[in-house]
Amino acid sequence: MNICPACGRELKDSNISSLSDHFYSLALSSDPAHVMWLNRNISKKKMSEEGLKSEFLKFYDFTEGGLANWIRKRFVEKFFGEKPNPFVKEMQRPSKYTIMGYVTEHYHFLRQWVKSCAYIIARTDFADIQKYEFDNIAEEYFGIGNQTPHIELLLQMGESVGLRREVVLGSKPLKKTESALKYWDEVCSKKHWLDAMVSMHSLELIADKNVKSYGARYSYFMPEILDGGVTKETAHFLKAGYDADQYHSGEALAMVERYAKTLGMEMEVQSYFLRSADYFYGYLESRQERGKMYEKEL
Amino acid sequence: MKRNYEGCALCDATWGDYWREVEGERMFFCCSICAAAFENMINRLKSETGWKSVDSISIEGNYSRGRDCTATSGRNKVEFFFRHEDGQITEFRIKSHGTSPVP
Repeated sequence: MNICPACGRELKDSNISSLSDHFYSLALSSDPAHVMWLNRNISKKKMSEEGLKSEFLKFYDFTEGGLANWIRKRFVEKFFGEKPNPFVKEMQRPSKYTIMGYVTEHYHFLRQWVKSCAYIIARTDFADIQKYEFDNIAEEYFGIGNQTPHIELLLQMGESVGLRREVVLGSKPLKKTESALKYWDEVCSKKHWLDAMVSMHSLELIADKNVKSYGARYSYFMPEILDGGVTKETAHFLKAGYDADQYHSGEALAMVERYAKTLGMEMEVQSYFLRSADYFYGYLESRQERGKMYEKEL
Repeated sequence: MKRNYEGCALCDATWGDYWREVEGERMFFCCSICAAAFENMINRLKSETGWKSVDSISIEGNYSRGRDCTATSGRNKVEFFFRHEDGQITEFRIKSHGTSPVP
């Protein structure tokens, strides 16, 4: 069932009219969540009911390039566009405090990640999806063969800039991280596995090294920092994510596109992606906020 | 109070229909959060500067990046930065003080 990307309410009809009418009535009554969503995604300028419907049709249209590319395009606009996410801007040349903030919040993210992927395995009967999620969990959390799992590389990155792992393990996630984790847990444990899949794996676009070919002005970080300017462990972690997330998100988005078409869930998948990306935006802000906290404390 | 936005006093959006009196003037906002943020920002500005009133304010930026502002009161002028969370001011920094012709 399609949801409103601003409030998550399930809409009775999976069509643009239903979605647009929902936004229009709530925007007229000055509902902050819906007004802000329109401001950020459609336009700051009030328009007629028909005008808004037409803008929503354009916004959700993926006929040119397909669903996976529509997700890439929207993700790039939001995180790597003219006004990038503040954490992305900071990551271009990260300070040790940026890295500390990254490590602490991302540790909590990864703990949820493994659960989210496990829920997808449990809630689908498609073996290709189960295998994909199984491999992803192994790589992130347990390591494949003699490769170090990403969660361990993350903690080593923290230690390399002076952040003891006990501090990370004993920390509590910041407010926006916590709220995002709660949302992803809810989606993955209760909603359709395909909604869960797009909610989680679209986020791996953050470290996709091809983002510039989708119109990004920035990439996750300046590649030259891997050759100097950050610790060896930081370069190791970033490179592992950079290499993995490119095929992780590409493969997952191809699956999402295929199954969304087969199951007739394309619009629903788009809305779940949009809502998840909003939570992810806040989660990245938490990484920056945590970094500032370390800067003050240490 | 002279402002650079014709829509919502904080973000310039024209959605919504929310009105609040700030500094004795009935102002349009797109939602209650923008209204709270604007009012709290003006109160903070007055408390930081000791101004009795604010004659003009110009705002650039957004929720995520924070907002750079220029405000005047009589011949006094300040440039400052602020950020809010659900209408509450979370960061406020005066960047420079100066004098300016009354706009």
